[in-house]
Amino acid sequence: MRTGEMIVTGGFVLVGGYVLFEIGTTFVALGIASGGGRDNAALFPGILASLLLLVAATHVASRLVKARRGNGQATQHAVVDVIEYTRAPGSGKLQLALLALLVFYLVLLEFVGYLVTTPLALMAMFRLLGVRRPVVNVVISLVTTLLVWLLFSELMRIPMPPGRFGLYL
Amino acid sequence: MAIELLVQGLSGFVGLPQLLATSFGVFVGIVIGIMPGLGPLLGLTLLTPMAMGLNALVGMGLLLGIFVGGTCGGAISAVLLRIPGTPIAAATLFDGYPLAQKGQAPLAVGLAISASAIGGIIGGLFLIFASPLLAAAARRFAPPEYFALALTGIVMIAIVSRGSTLKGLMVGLAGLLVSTIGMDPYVSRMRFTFGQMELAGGVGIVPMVIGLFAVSEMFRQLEVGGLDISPGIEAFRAPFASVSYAIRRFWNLFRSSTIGTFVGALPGTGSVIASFLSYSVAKASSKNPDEYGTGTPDGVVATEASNNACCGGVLIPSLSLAIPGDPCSAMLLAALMLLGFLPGPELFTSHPGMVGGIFLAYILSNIMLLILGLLFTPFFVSILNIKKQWLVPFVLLLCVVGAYGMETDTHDLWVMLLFGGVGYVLHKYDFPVAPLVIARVLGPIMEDNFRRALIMAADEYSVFFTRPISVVILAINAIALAFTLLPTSVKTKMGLGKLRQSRDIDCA
Repeated sequence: MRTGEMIVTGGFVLVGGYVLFEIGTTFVALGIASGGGRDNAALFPGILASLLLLVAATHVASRLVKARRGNGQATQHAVVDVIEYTRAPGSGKLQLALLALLVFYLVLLEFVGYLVTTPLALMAMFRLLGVRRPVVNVVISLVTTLLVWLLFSELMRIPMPPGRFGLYL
Repeated sequence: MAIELLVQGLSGFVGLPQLLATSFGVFVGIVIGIMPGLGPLLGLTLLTPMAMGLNALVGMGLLLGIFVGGTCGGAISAVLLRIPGTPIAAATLFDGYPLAQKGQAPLAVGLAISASAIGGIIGGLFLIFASPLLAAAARRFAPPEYFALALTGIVMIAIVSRGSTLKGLMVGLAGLLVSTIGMDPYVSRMRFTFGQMELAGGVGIVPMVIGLFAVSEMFRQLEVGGLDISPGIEAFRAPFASVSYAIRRFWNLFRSSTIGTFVGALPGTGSVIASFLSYSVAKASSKNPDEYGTGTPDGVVATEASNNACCGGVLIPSLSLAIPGDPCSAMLLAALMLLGFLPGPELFTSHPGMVGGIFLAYILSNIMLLILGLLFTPFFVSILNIKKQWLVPFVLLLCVVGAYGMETDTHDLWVMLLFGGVGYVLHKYDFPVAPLVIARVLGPIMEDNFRRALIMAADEYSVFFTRPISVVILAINAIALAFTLLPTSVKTKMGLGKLRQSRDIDCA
């Protein structure tokens, strides 16, 4: 069993365990962890969490049995296996950088709003992904920001985040 | 009853806004479907906020257009680049790509579009006549039966998803737990909200799906590399004669569409399985099976007719029973509910105009697919030349706008980002993502019917096992699970051979 797979399975165990813990503490304190279909808010999540722990345990056990028998990683035969690739060098750092940029954008979006942060974020993302022509970068960023704003905010009446300063066009 | 529904739908559906919205949806769907890594599910989630701002039928027309267009769009990149835009088009490259390599790329693309549209219309006819019958039969269903059906959706998607069935079940169960976050509908108490009022209404399905599929996919595209590479494909026109070319293969077209519709109607299967199955049947039935895989037009017709007919098929249980067949139909159901319409048998009696309108929108989508697909082929082909360094930030921007647009709450952006991480990690370690989406949509239906069944039976759990329909459905689920989970050695001893499982069938 790969380490990552083990961690993900562990994550599911944590989720199941947390739910049962909540049921045993908060739900009991609120008096909603007993009774039948009408009163028992813990019934459905409790059953699900128990099943999740059972399935996770079964999965781990089956992997261990296969490993002991020397089958190595379980092979799953894929009918569709056409989108396979090798990881591009340096892509890990690029992913982390893009993630940091995205987080920064979302934080700023809440404070400064769509119109100011979006062109800046787009410029930074284009630059990060290899666009080396600054004028083209700026123009495309501004045009994209405005077009998306026009389509969503003006045509569809879906407001964009105005920020704390209420910056609208 | 089908004709009555169509007549009632006609009054609400005929109009310029409906035509424009459906056409726009098909156009956008094809564009999104063409680009490898994206797919109709991304289009559905990004444009659901847009649909909410429209009249209900117009909004559903937009979304159905994206569904139909996106399902076909992946064939264009499969034929030209040997990279299917979506897994749905994977089988199309077996003959589509070799046909293009023989210098018949315009015919291959035209055939894919024509077969998709005609197959979709045939699937639509099945939808129109079968779903009222199923809805009528389902009127005898009570909460135990609905619970059992909802469980079927989860179990089937877990069985056919990538990785293993146990992984699919873990993800499905986690998705069901996510659906319990928020206010309990019976005792009006908060569950698992960590004290955050923003979670009182639960985890938003739109930001969740955007994160799981779109955001995670953009980060996966960085792994693939080639950000500044353009394939440099020259644009061309697809011949309108490809329509008659497809029609001349009518028996293959009809058979493949029928297979696609029936496979689609089974919860948890989907277009990928439909297209591979149709391809296998077409090859086995052919007088010249050796031609398959070398660029025979019949191969393209079989796969494309089937995968688009599947769109009509998945709508049958979705509309009639509120059981989505795949993540795309789950999103369509979620949109329908957000528009204020509850899918299921009641929809057919309380809102027949809406049902008829949906039928008409689906048929119109396929007609517009044929017209727009062939007319704008040069534009669609040129889309393939857009470099990822431009595409990735643009798609991320649409993700942010789409996630924010539903509730205009910045909290949803963090939900999107969180599930983006979840989707990335799940995919990386070979866990399926589709069960999470289906479970999130089915979860409230499952819990509601589970608890109502107990209430009506004075909390006797035997209610699920004493009603014939409920016990049959539960037994089918148990047998399917048991069969899939049996060790290979046991299955071999039983003479059942090794069960092949398919990759993630989500249509993203």
